[in-house]
Amino acid sequence: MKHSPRLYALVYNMTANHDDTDDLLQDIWAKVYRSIGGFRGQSQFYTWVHSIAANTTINFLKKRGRRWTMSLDDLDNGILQDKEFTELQAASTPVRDADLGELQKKINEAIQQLTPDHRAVVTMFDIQGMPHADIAKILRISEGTVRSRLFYAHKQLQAWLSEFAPIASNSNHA
Amino acid sequence: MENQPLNQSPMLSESQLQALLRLKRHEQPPAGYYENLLNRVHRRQREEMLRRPAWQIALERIRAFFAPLNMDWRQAGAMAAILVAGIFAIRVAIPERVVDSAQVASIGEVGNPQSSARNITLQPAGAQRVADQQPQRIQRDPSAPVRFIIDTQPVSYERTQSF
Repeated sequence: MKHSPRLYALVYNMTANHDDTDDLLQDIWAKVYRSIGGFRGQSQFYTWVHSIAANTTINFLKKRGRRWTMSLDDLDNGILQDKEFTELQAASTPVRDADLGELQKKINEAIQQLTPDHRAVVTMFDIQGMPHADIAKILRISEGTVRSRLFYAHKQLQAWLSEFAPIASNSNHA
Repeated sequence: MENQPLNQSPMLSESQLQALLRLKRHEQPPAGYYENLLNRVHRRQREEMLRRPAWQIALERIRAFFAPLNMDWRQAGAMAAILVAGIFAIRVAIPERVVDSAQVASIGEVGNPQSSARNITLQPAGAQRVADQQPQRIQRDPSAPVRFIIDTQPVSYERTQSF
């Protein structure tokens, strides 16, 4: 159960919905308990559990399709003290002008437009800060595939979130 | 994909995009969420258990029982085949006893309850003879009143506290 916060973050950032996340997390732990006998110790427990979580969530997202509702008003007030956020605000006028709810909505909408496979990679690498090697093990793909998915997803997100790009006069400070 | 990226400038740099994405770390579940998670998982497991057929649960238990042996199913199959072959070989090597007519007759007598009462006994031979000498039971007249007879005599009428 000590992995729950990380699993929650993985599932939530892929679904953008707390109720779905709660449901999936229970499902994931039930699966883990059920198949713990099959865990051979060939990989770390952490990798094995994350693999179950990622695959369960990807399957759920593929079934769910485009029907989804976003959970809002879940932003922790700690974001206001976040160093990166203050830097972003200083560098980008649109970020400074947007309220937190709007910013959250835009980011979530952009992420939800990615395919589940790309979303999983972005969530693990950009949000959770996992190394490429771990992501490759969890998703059972090569590191090259992880990098190419990241590259493609970043290109799409950069375009979709371009409204938050610093205007020309500020871009030198970014 | 419905919404294709727009190739417009200015675009977010890689580092700015990553900084924006990292803001999602601040989206957290409600306070106290993890404290009740384990209870909810257990409840779901029980619900799942009730929904599943009994044979599936039994199969899972058997698998779980054999899982620590780390058994290769091919090896297990080979072992089972050797055992079956061994049993067959023993059956072939030791012929079945031929049952003759005299044995069949004696079995028939044993099968009869009256003869079995006479032939089969756990008592020693002397006791058997004494039993044979005992008087036959008298058939009671159903119209006669019921009488209770105590056959045995007490060893002593003295109270146990007297000695």
